[in-house]
Amino acid sequence: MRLAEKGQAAPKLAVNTRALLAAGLVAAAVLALLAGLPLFTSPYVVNLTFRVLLFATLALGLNVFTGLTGYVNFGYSGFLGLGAYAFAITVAKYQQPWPVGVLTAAAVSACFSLLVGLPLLWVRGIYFAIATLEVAGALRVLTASEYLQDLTNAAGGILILTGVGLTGQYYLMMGLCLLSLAVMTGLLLSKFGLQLLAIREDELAAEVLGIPTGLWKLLAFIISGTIAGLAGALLAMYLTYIDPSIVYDVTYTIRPLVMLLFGGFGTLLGPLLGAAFFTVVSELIWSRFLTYHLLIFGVVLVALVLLMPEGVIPWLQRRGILPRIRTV
Amino acid sequence: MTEAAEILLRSLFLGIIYAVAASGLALIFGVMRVVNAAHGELIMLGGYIAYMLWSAAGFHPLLAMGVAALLMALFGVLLQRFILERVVGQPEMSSLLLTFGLSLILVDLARGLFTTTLRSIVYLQEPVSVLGASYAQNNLLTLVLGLGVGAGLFLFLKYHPLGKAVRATAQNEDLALACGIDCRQVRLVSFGLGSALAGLAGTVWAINYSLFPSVGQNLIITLFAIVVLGGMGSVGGAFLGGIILGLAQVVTARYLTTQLSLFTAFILLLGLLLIRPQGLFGAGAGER
Repeated sequence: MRLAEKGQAAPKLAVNTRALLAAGLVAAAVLALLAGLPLFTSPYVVNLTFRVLLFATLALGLNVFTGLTGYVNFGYSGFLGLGAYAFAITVAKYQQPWPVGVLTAAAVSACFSLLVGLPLLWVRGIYFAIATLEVAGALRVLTASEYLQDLTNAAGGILILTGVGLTGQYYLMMGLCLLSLAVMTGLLLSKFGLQLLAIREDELAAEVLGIPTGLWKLLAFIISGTIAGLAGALLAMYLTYIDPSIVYDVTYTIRPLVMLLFGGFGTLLGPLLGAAFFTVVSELIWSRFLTYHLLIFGVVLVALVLLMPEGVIPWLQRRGILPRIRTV
Repeated sequence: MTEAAEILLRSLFLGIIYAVAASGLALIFGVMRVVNAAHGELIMLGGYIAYMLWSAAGFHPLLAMGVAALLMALFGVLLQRFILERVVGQPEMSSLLLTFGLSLILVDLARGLFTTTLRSIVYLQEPVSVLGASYAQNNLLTLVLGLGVGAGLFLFLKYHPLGKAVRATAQNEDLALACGIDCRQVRLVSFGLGSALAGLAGTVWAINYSLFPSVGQNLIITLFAIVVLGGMGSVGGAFLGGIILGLAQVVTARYLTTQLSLFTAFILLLGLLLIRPQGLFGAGAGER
């Protein structure tokens, strides 16, 4: 029995090394392609890829919290909008260089995640999703209100000129996407990530096993919120003009969520696959049917929940096309 | 004194619409554990059906309201039978995502069908003076209608055999099944009734305010707050929550600014979730 197992294990290991090598080569090729993109393609392709990277970052960020703990953050656009505003105010109003703006956005969104996370993470299941939805709604309303006129210019919006060109913005976004990917990989390989997954599977059992569920959820929530804030800062830089209806747009919650659902909760490749697929598809739809743009997302969301609730990556894993390891 | 009376009446006028809208949402959640994120769109759709019947077919607004409620009930039954029935018993999150998808579809369809022009049903807009302040007559009509719907719903749930079956299913589905209640049928009735309530609320909204395709997306955040406030699944709680939120928003609009009314909803909700996670009337732990 033991011998048989050993006999099986040896070739499997060989396949794994080969698979690992192949995966590494593909990753390197994709990375080289992405890095060289601004050199040999049109600005249109760079713009499109920028958006793919933006949504990949957001989907990964959402994955850190929602994918691992199972709590759906329905107010993700709020964190993005907050980061965008923190960046815009620092750069446009206080005349700071853009790196300071990016750092401010990270700090503000991290602090906000902490502040909101503390009370919210007491709240379980569906109540949590609803409460986060309210958070985003409240943030948007507050930003647009006359009380913050001096700071946010209310509904009038803010113009941001950083002097960073499209290529620079593209590389920044690529850096952020890689950072989020690294964070997610690190989480999946660590005990911390495993414990978060335990919370997703059964929170009570995780607590009984001695996992500090509240603190761990809070940490994941802060990481996730900070990634959204950073993405918001880069988005504000890219758009050069923001107002509450642009950066607090609910599509910044919907799209990452659908992409994540499509790819598979808690997977590494899922958010990337989802972001690439949906951004390109929506670009194709956008240029043809302007009106029925969100409808497609709705149809896909309904179809996914009914037909493939687990997502593409786990589906492929179950069929043995992709290896069944956590870091896929 | 006059001011207090005016604030109270205005809160009731706003709150009763919220109450009718939220009671359908609460009923659906109570019976099926389905968080209907498309409820705002059902309200929008009901409002548009009534508007079309009134403006294109020349129906009396009240008749249009009745027909809209019936059509929405039918739509709700079909939706439940062919789509939502498939996620019953699954985690609440999947129903939330599913109905969220439905809401996106309905909003975009409405945008294509009805355009984004503001629409409202002109009915009883003459002013009437009550306790020293003047209101549109349709405000009073709304209050009477809302109270009527509330009473009807209460009587149905309390005494009608089907209403009792609905309550039994909401309390414990397994036991209800064991007692010979057809839970599938109960779910159809509940979703149909919830959608009909949404149709009523939509028509009332179109009479008092105005319709646009994304009106439901703005409403649903408030409605969720109300339903959580009252206790998920508690129809009575939804009525009380609706009135409370109406009061909070009217007071905010009067003494601060109308822009912050959503913010008030959030503060109320957050405060309540911290003190009493199960809502005012919710039973059991905060888990559900």
